Amino acid sequence: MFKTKRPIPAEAAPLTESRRFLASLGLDHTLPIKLTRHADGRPYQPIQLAQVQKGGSSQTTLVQEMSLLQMKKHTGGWDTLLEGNRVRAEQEALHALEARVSEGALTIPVRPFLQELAQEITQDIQLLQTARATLEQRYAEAESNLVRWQNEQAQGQGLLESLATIAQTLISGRLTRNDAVACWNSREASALSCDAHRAALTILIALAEAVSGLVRALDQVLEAAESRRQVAAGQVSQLRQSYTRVRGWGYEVNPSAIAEVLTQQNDSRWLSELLTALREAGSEALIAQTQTIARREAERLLEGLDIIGLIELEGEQLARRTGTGDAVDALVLVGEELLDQVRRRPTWQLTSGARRRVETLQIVPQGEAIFEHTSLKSAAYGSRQDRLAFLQVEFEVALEELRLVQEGRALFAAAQERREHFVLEEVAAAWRAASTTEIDAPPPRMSEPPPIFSNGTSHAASEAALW
Amino acid sequence: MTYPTTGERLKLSRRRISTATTATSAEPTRPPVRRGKLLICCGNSGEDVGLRLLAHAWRDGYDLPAIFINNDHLGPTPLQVHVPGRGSVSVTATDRFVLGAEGNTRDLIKEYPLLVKRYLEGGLLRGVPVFETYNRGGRGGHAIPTITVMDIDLHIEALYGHLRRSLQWLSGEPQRRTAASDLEILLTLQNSQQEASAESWIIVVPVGGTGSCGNGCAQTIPYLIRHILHELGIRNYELWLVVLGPRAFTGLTAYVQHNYLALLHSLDYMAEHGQRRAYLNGITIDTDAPPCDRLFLLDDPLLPSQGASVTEQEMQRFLDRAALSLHLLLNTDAYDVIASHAANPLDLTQDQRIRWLHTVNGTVAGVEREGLLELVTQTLEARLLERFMTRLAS
Repeated sequence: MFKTKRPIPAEAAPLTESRRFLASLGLDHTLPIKLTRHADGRPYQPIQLAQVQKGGSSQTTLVQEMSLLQMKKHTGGWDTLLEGNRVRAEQEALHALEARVSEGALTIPVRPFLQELAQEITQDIQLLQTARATLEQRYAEAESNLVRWQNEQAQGQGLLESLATIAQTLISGRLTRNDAVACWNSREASALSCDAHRAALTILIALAEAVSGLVRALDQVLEAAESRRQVAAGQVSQLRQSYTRVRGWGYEVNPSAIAEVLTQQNDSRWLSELLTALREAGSEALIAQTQTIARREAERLLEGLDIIGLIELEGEQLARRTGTGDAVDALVLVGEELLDQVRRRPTWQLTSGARRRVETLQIVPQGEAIFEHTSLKSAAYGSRQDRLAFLQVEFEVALEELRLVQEGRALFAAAQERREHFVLEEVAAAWRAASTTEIDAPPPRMSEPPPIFSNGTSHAASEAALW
Repeated sequence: MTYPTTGERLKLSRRRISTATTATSAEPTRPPVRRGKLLICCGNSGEDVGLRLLAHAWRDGYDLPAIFINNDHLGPTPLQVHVPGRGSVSVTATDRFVLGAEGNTRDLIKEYPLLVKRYLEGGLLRGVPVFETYNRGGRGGHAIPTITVMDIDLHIEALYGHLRRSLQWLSGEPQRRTAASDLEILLTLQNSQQEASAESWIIVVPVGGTGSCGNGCAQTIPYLIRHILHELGIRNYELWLVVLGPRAFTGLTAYVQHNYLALLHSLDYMAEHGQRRAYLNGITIDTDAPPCDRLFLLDDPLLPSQGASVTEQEMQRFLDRAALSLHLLLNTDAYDVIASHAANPLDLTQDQRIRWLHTVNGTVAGVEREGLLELVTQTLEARLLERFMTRLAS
């Protein structure tokens, strides 16, 4: 059997993954040989004639051999075996290829693997074609010699004459019977090898077409994936840029920071799930499957995160980015800032002697206090777990304890003299009566009329800090 | 507690949660009473705050029933808000009642002896030039609360009917108002489940105290509300009046301070004496009840930051903050915690003064969860595709 000659370098290079793949399927230089084996591994034995022995052969054997030697073509008989082996090997190779690509068992990415595999297959095809050409030439030589011998034999009158001619051929230089037998055997062996090489080539060509088809399909999928990736990336950018803060909130968690942290984890299950889904539904389902997985995982990642978790996550992201480490508790920092906003931005001004009750609450998810402080009570926000608030309520204040009432008393009285500011006749009458009888103490005398509202508190710093 | 005058900040520390604190108490705790809410927003500032309250409620995933009353046809600017499951929607003042018709209010009152007696003969227009009250109906009250009260008097029939229809809903009757959009229908259906279990109501009347409409409404609408609720047999309610200003509106008109002080004195008088007032539709308010159960004053004493007038931005921020504070008080469990304390007033000074003024001040940290979910989803999708392509191609 002709053996494919392969260049052997001085130091054997490590096998590529595609070469290992081909070798695992037996798709190497021994493939033609394997295709001629029976199921039990025995090689197929083509008919081979024996050389004429010195002691001569029996007359019966010689007759059988003569009839075989006269055959114009090789006997064959290996077609069924060869075809069966070819079909089996080809199907096994195609299934193995699909499985290897789809199951993610590759050590290198799929496309480079397929490209490498295509190159290896192309090399093997070339080698097999070269080998087959050599075999076909050998077949042709053997057949040519055999036909010449057959023609020479045909000039004889009969079998006995032919036998005599054989002996004479040895003496005269013409092809002897043994030469004919050798040619006949060579023709048989060459025919088997040619057919085996042809079958091997058929397998490799089919595999090459499958690889080519996979590459084309893969390129389409990759193009669709890239297109969709650009759309998604554009939407991310747009979402980040178009994000508007909620009016009135004292602190807002940075959604970009949270998204950055949550999506950094490289969960291999997502990719495996996507590949599995594509195997089942086809590559057309890539976009829909990706969106389904992304939405589901996003909801899962956010589900357990309340405002505490979100602030801490943002703090971790910032610490990692700026290298500040764990020095600052982000939640405490936010809580102190919120409480400071409430305490430094009053909603009224009271006289120095005013007495009132004050309740300050931390309004938190679940209602269970987050911060320890003797002045803080706690209340639940409600159904929302992503809110943290501070609320200060002052109550039981009397009208006279409002600074603006005290400070505006004189000016209001003067204004009321000029025109009516009350809208209810009962109240207007009561005011007139009170002013006339001076039941209340007269308004305090001041050296100069003060403004109704004084703004002695520095607010610039608070303004900047708040807004 | 006094306001800090130094730069010190209140220091907080995390509460250590031990197993002991999470152990169940000997007696089972009762769930908090569910209270329904109704907003009756009067005047420009009242409508602005009401709309912001609606936005906070919608952002949190529920509806807040609200009606809007003004004598200015121009309504509040709609707000955009992210609603869970629906994306960005527009919050508008849909159930809006506008006082005033064509014609001059001051001329119209002459057709009614009651009003002639009240305003012309009774002196409520004393010192007010006719020019200042020569307004076109439905164009606002020109910072004169008397114009609004005259509008209320002139259109009491329509106003009373509108209020009655709105308040009738509290008694459980299904027809409240038509929804203007699919979202409102959905939220109203969701809200109806809350209504069914509501044990009491808080009716909140936010008003600006320095202008015309809010000021005038604050002195009349609450008693009309009480009258109607009494007619309907509704007893389980609290009536809150929320007065905004005056520093936050400094410089907007010449009468900011005067209107506000007059309002406070008027409310204080009524807290002591109740109200007696007749209307053209035949109803007479004759009650010793205070105008409201709780009076909240919300202002920003630090305004204006510069100059003699607040800027539009400063005013909008004030309204944002006021609405947020009210939202935190109304729509969380905060009021349940405070209410028990507020129900037992302490006479701190034993000076016999009526101590019924409150204020509320809040701030919140949060996240727009819908926007965050969308951002995380898109980011995950992009990264998954990147990994897919890397796995397959390079």
